[in-house]
Amino acid sequence: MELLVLLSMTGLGYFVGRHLEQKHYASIKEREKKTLHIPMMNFGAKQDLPHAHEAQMFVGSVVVANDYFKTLSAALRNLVGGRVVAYESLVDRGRREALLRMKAEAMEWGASQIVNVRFETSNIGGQTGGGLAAVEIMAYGTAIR
Amino acid sequence: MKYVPKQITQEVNTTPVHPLVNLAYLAGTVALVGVAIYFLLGIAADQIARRIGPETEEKIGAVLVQTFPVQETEGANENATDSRLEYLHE
Repeated sequence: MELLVLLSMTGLGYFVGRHLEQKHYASIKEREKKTLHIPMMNFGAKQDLPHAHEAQMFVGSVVVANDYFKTLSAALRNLVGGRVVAYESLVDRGRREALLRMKAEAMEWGASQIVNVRFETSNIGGQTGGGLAAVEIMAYGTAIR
Repeated sequence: MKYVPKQITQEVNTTPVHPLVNLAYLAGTVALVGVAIYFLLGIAADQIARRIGPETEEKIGAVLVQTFPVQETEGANENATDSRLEYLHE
């Protein structure tokens, strides 16, 4: 019975998670293409900002959780060590989504470019050993116009 | 320097491996290691059992007996009270 539950959860996690991931990647690629004309740079912390009339900080944040299939893959990987392939796409999606949200907000404000772009991450419930295991990825930068 | 928009088409942050292939590889590795440990322990126990003396065996036995749950017995007539052996007295 327990094995059946485990298999159902893993199957559900695999099929639904994969479908949502592909859908999300398609959306990310489309939005990245649309916002490509606004340059984003990571300089600006210790260098002079380009000449601008106005500057404002923008933040984009996203919280991503893993499905059961990814949890199982990562747990097995934890036994032998090595590259956790299952989580790579999850974190990659999170980073790009956070960046896009920040960029979309800056573009709405009328930004011509975004400088000093940084990332921050934090665990949510990952250390407690139960409940929700998710990660927050935050992107922030200074938009100028 | 003029900014030229350039779309990145190559995914460099994700490993191009199918999730099911990855899971099969991991499960296979864990199963293989489990089987190897099982057989190695069997061989080791076999070798140790051949080499240890009767005294050591008794000591190990005494330690193991202590871990068993204590059974209530009623002297020499203990079998008579055991419901599982009732058919012998019939």
